[in-house]
Amino acid sequence: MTRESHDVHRNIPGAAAVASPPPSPAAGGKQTQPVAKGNESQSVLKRLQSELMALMMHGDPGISAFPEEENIFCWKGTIVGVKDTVYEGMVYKLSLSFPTDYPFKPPKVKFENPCFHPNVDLCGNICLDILQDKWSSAYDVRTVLISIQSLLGEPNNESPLNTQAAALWGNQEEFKKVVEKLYKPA
Amino acid sequence: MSNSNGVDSAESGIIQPTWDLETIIATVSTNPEPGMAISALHAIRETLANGSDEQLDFFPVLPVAQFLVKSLSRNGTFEENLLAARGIAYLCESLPSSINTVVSCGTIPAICEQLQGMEYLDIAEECVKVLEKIADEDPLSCLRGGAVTLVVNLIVFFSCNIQRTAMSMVDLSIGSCTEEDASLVVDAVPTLCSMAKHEDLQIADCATFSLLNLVRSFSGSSVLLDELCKRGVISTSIEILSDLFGAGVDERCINSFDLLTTAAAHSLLVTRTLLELNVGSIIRKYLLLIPDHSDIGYVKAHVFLDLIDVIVPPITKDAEDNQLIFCRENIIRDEPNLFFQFAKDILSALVQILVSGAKMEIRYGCVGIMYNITYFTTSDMLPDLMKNANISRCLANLLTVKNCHILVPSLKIVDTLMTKLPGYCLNSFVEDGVVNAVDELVLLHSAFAGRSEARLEETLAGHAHDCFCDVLNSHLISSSSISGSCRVENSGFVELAKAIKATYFAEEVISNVGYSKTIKKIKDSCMELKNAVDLFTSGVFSSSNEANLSSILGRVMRELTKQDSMSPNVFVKKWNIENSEALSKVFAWFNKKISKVLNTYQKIDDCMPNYIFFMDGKQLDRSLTLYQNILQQKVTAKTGYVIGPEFWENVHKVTYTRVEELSSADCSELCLRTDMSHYSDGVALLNWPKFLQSTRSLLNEFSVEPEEADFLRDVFFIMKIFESIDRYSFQILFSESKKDFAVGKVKNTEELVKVIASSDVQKEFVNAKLSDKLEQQMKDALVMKTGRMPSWCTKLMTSFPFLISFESKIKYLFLTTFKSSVNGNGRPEIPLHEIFVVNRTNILVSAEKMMAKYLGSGYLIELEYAGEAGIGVGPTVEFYTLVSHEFRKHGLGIWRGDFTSFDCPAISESSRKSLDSGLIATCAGLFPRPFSLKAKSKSKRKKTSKKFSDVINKKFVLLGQIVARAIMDKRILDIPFSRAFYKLILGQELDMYDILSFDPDLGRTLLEFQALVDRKRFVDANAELSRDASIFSFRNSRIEDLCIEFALPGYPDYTLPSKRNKEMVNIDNLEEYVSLVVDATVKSGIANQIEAFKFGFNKAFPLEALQIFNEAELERLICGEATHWNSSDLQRHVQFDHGYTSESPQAIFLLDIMLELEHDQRKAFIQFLTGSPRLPIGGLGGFSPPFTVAKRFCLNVVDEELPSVMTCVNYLKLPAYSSKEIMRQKILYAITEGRGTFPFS
Repeated sequence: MTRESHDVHRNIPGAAAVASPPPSPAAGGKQTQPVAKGNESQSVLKRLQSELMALMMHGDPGISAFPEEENIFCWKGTIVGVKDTVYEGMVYKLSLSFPTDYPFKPPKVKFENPCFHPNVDLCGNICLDILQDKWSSAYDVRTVLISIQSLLGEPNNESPLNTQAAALWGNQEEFKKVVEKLYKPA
Repeated sequence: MSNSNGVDSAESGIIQPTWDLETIIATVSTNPEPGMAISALHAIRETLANGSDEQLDFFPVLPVAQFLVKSLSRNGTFEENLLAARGIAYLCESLPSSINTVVSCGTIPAICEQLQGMEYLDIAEECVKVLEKIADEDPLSCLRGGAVTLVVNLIVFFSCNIQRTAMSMVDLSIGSCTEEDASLVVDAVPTLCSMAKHEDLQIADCATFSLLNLVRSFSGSSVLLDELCKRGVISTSIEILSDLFGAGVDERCINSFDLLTTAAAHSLLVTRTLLELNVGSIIRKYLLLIPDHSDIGYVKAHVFLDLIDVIVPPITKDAEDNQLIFCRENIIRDEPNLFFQFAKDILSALVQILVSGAKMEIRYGCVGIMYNITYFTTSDMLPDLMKNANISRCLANLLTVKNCHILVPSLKIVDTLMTKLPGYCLNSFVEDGVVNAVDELVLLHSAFAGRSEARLEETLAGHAHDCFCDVLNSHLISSSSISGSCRVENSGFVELAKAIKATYFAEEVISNVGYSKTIKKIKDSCMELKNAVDLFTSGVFSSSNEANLSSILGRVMRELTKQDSMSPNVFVKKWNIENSEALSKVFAWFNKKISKVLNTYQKIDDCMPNYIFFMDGKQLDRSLTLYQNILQQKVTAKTGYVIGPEFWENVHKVTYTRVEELSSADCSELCLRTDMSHYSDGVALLNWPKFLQSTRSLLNEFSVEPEEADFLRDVFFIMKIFESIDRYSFQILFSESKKDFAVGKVKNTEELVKVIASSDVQKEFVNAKLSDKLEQQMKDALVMKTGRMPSWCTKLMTSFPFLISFESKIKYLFLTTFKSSVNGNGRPEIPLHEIFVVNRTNILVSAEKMMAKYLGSGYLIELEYAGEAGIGVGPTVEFYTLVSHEFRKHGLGIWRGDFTSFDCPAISESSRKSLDSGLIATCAGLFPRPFSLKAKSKSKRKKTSKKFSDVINKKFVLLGQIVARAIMDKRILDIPFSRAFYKLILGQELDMYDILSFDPDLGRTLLEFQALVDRKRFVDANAELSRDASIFSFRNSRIEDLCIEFALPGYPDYTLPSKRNKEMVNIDNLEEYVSLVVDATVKSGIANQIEAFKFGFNKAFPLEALQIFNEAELERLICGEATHWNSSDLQRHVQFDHGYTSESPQAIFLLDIMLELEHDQRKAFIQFLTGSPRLPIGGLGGFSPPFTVAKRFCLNVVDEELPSVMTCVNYLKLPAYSSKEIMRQKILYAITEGRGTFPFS
C-alpha cells in the first residue's frame, strides 16, 4: 500500500508538468509539412505534365482530362459513352487524384455523377484491376480513361459491385432504361 | 418464551415455577390434563435452555426422557408432540451424555412412528434434528431402528437446512453400517443417489460420502455391491464426475473415484457397468489434467489410476483372488468392443502423460497400467490403438529413462506388443527408435560389465528411496504384497532387454524389415530425384526440368520433416545400410544446385570471361562452378576424399590470369575463401561453413557414435539447406527467371514476375521429437531454478531453431532470458507487481515515463489511469492497446503511408475515411518511412530535419521499449508491423525483394527495373547483340517515357546521394536509380530508426534472444493470434445473402469450418478473402462492407467447383456443397493453392 501511494505521488506532478509543452507528435507533424510542401510536387510534376501533353496530343475520341485549377494532383476527366452501347451519348465526369509516389502507385479514380454499371458502386467507386493490383507504372491517365471507357461497354459481371446492374445486364433494353433514368449530367 | 411459560403456569395454577422437574413430571403423570403436559414440556425446555450448570448436573435424565418419549408417542396433540420432539432435541444437545439413556427409552421407535405418520412437517423436522444428535453418538441404533430409510424417504419435503441435517444424520448412521444391515439401507439408495447430485454442495458432499461409505461397508459382498449398482450408484457417480469436470479436482470428485474403484474391485457387475457407461472417456478427461497442472500431486493422480487398475485385471495373480480376476478377464474377453473403447481412451491419455514429463511416480503408475492394457488387448485391436496413441514413440522415450521401475514394465510392453503383432510393431518400433533404445540398454550393461555391479545399480536405480513399488497401492486386490522391500530387481531389465533383442530384434530381422511407408516414399522420391539429376547433369537444361527437380525435392523434404514420421537417428541408420549412394548423389546434386544459384551471383563466367583460373597449378574447368572445381581437385588428389568441415574452413588458393595477357606475368593472387556468404545482389543466401561448424558442435553435445555423427550431421546440414532454400525460394526463382530475361529467353517484364512463391512450409520443419526433448530438458528442476540450459540446447536453438515448435520456443525464451518458467496459464511467475499511474490524455508521454522507470526491472507492471478506479490486468491490457494505437495514428510521421505528415494535395476519398479513424490503414503492415540525415543544401531545412530526425528516433526508442516490455509481460500489442519490419528486428538485412512485402506496387516495379538493368548489362557485355531500344522497354514504353525523376518515390524531401539530382531516369542511369531507391527504402533511409528501436529494446533485454523465432512467429509473439474469432463473432459479423440465409446448411457448415481452422489456415482464409493476411481493426466486424457469403451458382457438378471471392467487397461466393467435409476440402484447397500465386500474376 505504501508503495502504491508513493508511486502516485511521484507520478502525478510529472504528468502535470508534461502537459504544458505541446505534445510531440503534433510537433513532429508540424515540422514535416513545410519540408514537404512545394518540394514534392516537383518530382511528380514532370510526369503529370507529360501525361497531360500526351493526352492532348493523342486526341482520343470521347475522353479528356485536365488538372483542377491550381492543383496538379487533382484532375477532372470526362468519358463519353461509346456508340452502340447502352451508354451511347452519356457524358460521365470522373475525378482523378494522384498519390505522391505516382506513378509507382495508381491514381484514385471515381465517377462524379451517378453511373449505373455492374462494376461501379453507388458512390462512384470503380472496381477495375489496373486501378488496383494490376497497376503498372507504364500506365497513364490516357490508358486509364480508355480502360474505363471500354469497361462501360464490357463489364466484368463475374465480380460486380452493383449486383442489381449485373443481374440486369442480360436485358439490354431494360438496362438502358435504368441507365437513362439514373443519369444526371454533372 | 419464558414469558409465555409464566403465563401458562399462572393460568393453570398447578405447576409452580419453584418446583423441580421431577415433581412436575410426577404431577403430570398423575394428572392427564393436556394443559398440564404442555406446561411440563415448557418447563423442561426452559430448564434445558436456561438452566444453571448446577441444575444441568443434577438433571433427572431418565424420568424426563421417559416423559418426553411418552409425550411424543402418545396420540397427543400437535403441540404436545412438537414440544416433546423439541425437548428431546434440547436434551440431546445440552447433555450429550444422556443420549444413551434417551435411546434406551425407546426414542427411536417413537420418532419412527412420528415420521411414518408424517402428519406435521414441523414435528418431522424436529425428529430429524434429534436423530442427527443420536446418530452422532450411537449411529448403529439409528440405523437399526430403521430411521435412515424413513428420513431419506421424507427428505424431499424438508427445507434445505433440514435436508443438510438429515443428510448428515444419514451419513453418520451409514458410517457404521455393516453387511447385515444392508436390507435397512438399500431402499434409501436411489434417493441418496439423487441427493448426491443436489445443487447444495454440503448435501451433495454428504450424500456422496454416504454412498462411498456404503460401498466400503459392502465391499465384502459382491451380491450387495451388485444390488447397489442396480440401484444406480455407479451411474450416479459417473454423472457426478462428468458434471464436476472443469471445476477442479475436489473432495467429492476424489470420493466418487474412490467409490467406483472400491465397487469395481469387488463386483463384476460394476466393472461391466463402468465399461458400458464409457468410463474411459471420463477418466481420460481427468488424466489429461495431469500434464498441464503440476499441482495435481501424485496422490490425486493415483486416484484416477487406481480406477483403471481395478478395471483392467492384474497380470500377476495372487492365489486368493484368482476367481475374481479370472471373471474379470472374461468380461474383457466377452466385451471386446467396450474394452477397446476404454483402452483407446486411456492409452492415448497415458501416452500424453508419459511424454509430458510428469512426476516419476505418476509415470510409473501409467506404465504399469499401460502394460496391463496391452496385455489384454487382442492383436486385431492393436493397430488402431497404436495409431491412435503413438505408443511406440512413447516407449522409445520411456526406454531412455534411467530407472528400472520404468524400464521393466516398458520392456514388458515391448515384449507383449511384439508377441501379439510382430510385423506391425516391428516397423513402428524401428521407425520410432524403440529398437535403438533396447540396443542401448544392452550396450549400457556391457559397458558397465567391468565395473562393480553396485555401480550399475546406482546409476540405473537412481536412489534407493526412489522405489515406487508401493506407490500404486493396489490397496484392494493385493494388499498383502505391500512390503518394505523393492520388488523390482535392479538388473532384471537387462536380462529382459537382452531377451527381447535376441527374440525379436536380431540384426538380420531388423535389416530385413520392409522399409516403412515413409522411408519407402523417401527412397522412391530419391530415386526419382537421382534420375532427374542424371538428366540434369547430362546437359539438358530447361526451366521445366528445373521446376520438376524442385518439386521432387519438395516432396523429399516434406517426407523428411513430416511430423512424427521418424527420428533423424533412424533415418540416418536407414541410409547407412543401403542408400548412401543415393544420398551422396542427391547431396552432390544439392551442392550443384546451390552452387548454381551462387554462380548466378558470382558470375564467374559472365562477368569475368577473360580470366583463367588456376588452383595448385592446374587450370580450372570453366564449365564447372568454383566449388565443383575445388572438389574435383581434392578428389583427384586423394581418392575417397570426403567433404568434411575442413573443406569449408580451409583457404583454397585460386590464381587467375587475364587471357589476352597470357604472356605477361600479371598474375595476382586471389584468395577466395569458400565462405560464400554475400553476393553481388546483397542476398545473404547460405553460409555453409557456419552451418557445418554449428552442426558439428551440436553433434558433440548429442554424444552419438562417431560413425553416426557424419550422417547425422548430413541430415542436419541438409535440413538447414532445405530450410534456407525454402526461405529464399522466391529470390532464387526470381533470379533464375531474371537471368532468362537478361539473355532474352523471356520477352516481357510482365511474364518475368509470374513466378510462384512457395507456400509457407515453416511448420513442416518442426521436429516433434526434438521439441519434446527440449521441453523435457526445460522441466528439469535445476534448469528451472537457474534458467541455464545445457549447451546442446543453446546450440540447437541458435543454429536450428526451425526444428523446434513455437510453443517450446516461447518457453525457452522465458526460461533463458527472464529466468522464469511459464506455468500452466501461460504467465511468467514474476512475484512482484509495480503499480504505475497513467494519464489517459497523453498515453505516449506516460509510456515514456513508465519505460524510463521500470523497463529493465523484473517487476510485472500493473497500471491505473489517473482518476479512475480500475487497476490490474484490465487497464494494463488496455494500455498496451492504446499505446499501439497511438503509434498507428496519422501524423506521427514515422511510417510509410502516413500522408498527413505531408501537405498531401490529393487525399482520396478512401484515405480520408481512414483518416477519420485516425489510424494508418495498411494492408501489408507498417514499415518505417525513409528519412535522410543529409538534408538539402538550404541551411534552414537542414536544421529542421535534424531536429525532426531526433523526434523520430525518440519514437523508435520508445517503440522498442514498449515491444520489449510487452513481450516480457506477455501483453499483446495491436500494431501490425510488416513482415519486413520483423525481419529487421531479427537482425536480418533486407533487400529489394522485401519491398514487395510492405509496398507491393513499388517492389514490383523495382524488380522489373532490375531485370531490365540485368538485360542491359548482358547486352553490353556481348557486343554482337543488337542494341535495339525496344528490348529495353518497360511494358512497351521506354524508361524515359515514364518521366520519373531521380528522387525517392513518395518522399521528395529525401535526398538521394547522387549527382543526378535533377535528371530524369533513363535506361543508362536506371541501375543507379534502382539501387539508390532500394538503399533508401530498406537500408540507409531507415537505419537510424532501426538502430533507435534496437537501442530501446536492448534496454529491457537483449534483442538477440528473439532470434530463435522467425518472422511469422515473432508476429504471433508480439501481436498474438492475429486472426482470432469465436463462434459469437462469426454469428454476429458474417452475413449471408443471395441464396443463403444464416439457417442454410451451408452457412452452418461454413461457420463450423471457420471455427475449426488453425492459426495459419485462418490467416490464409483472410488473405484469400481480402488479400491481406490480417483482419482489419475491429476484427471480423471491421470489414467494410461487411463480410458476406453468397451462393455461387454452378453450371457443372456443384461438389467439383471451388469457392471464389471478390476482394473489393469482401464477398465469398460459395457453391452449395452437399456436405461439410467437401466444403472443408474445397475451402482449404482454395486458400492454400490460391495463395501460391504471387499477387501480381
